[in-house]
Amino acid sequence: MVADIAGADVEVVVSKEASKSISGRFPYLEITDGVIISEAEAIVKHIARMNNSAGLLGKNPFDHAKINEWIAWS
Amino acid sequence: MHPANFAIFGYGRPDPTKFANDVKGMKEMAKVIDHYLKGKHWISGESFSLGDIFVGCYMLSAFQLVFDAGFRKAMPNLTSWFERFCQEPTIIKRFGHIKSCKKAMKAGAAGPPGNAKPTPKKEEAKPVAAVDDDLDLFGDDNEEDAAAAKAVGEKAKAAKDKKKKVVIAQSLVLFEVKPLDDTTNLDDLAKRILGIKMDGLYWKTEYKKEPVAFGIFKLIIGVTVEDDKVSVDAL
Repeated sequence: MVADIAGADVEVVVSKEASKSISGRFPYLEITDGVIISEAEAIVKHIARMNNSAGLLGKNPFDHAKINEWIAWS
Repeated sequence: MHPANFAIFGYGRPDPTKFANDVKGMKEMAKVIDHYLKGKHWISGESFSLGDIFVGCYMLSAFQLVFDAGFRKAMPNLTSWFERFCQEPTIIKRFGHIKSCKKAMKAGAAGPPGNAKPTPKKEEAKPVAAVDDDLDLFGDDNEEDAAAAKAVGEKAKAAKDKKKKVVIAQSLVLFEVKPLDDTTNLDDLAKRILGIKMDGLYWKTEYKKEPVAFGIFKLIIGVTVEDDKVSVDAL
């Protein structure tokens, strides 16, 4: 969903081994072959940051902080 | 998801006091965000952000299960924000058209459908982790499922004791398997369950998938057991 708004092309794969991620769990994001980000929040933030013009992380550091505040709250 | 929502789906031991407290906590959270959203279109002001996605996904089940029309009216900022959230094209694409509940659901209300009317010949099973070798599919839910399985086992045993005089007592057991998320392939799981063979154990050849919520389906699978040969506990 985040990828959709940011215009990123992400394929969801569930059949692979999860041992690649730091916690040994899904999900993880494989950026290029062998380069991985695990933990859901880190993944969506990375995808959101890939396209700043989509504005998913706010316009300025304060907006960003407020967004993070509500992410932590929910 | 908030603990109250898990209770609605029949997870954990039924505890009316805890459920009431959980619902209260959920409504307290709603008040906090309602107050914050006053005069705001989205969480970070004018533009839709990751914050809206996180809080929106959290509130999804609350609006669908607990926040009735009366409560929504009392939370005007939150409710209008949530309605905007549901109108976002990407939200519709992912979740479809979201409907808020008319009445708040009670604990266990969205649980096993057969539970309300138990018949003497039928034993209804609560959410059960079906087989040992499938436990990995349930991830963090293991403990809860194991507890539920134990409870069902005891119930089944009690029912079975009553039938001891029957020559070949047979019980029809329905298993409901609820996956942790929408990424579990239920067809594969069903095949593995049907692959379990025991003397006196007859799986129904058909199983069905029923929607639970948010694109998650539960698996309903039936089995006939000869009580003297197979114990439900063994499954």
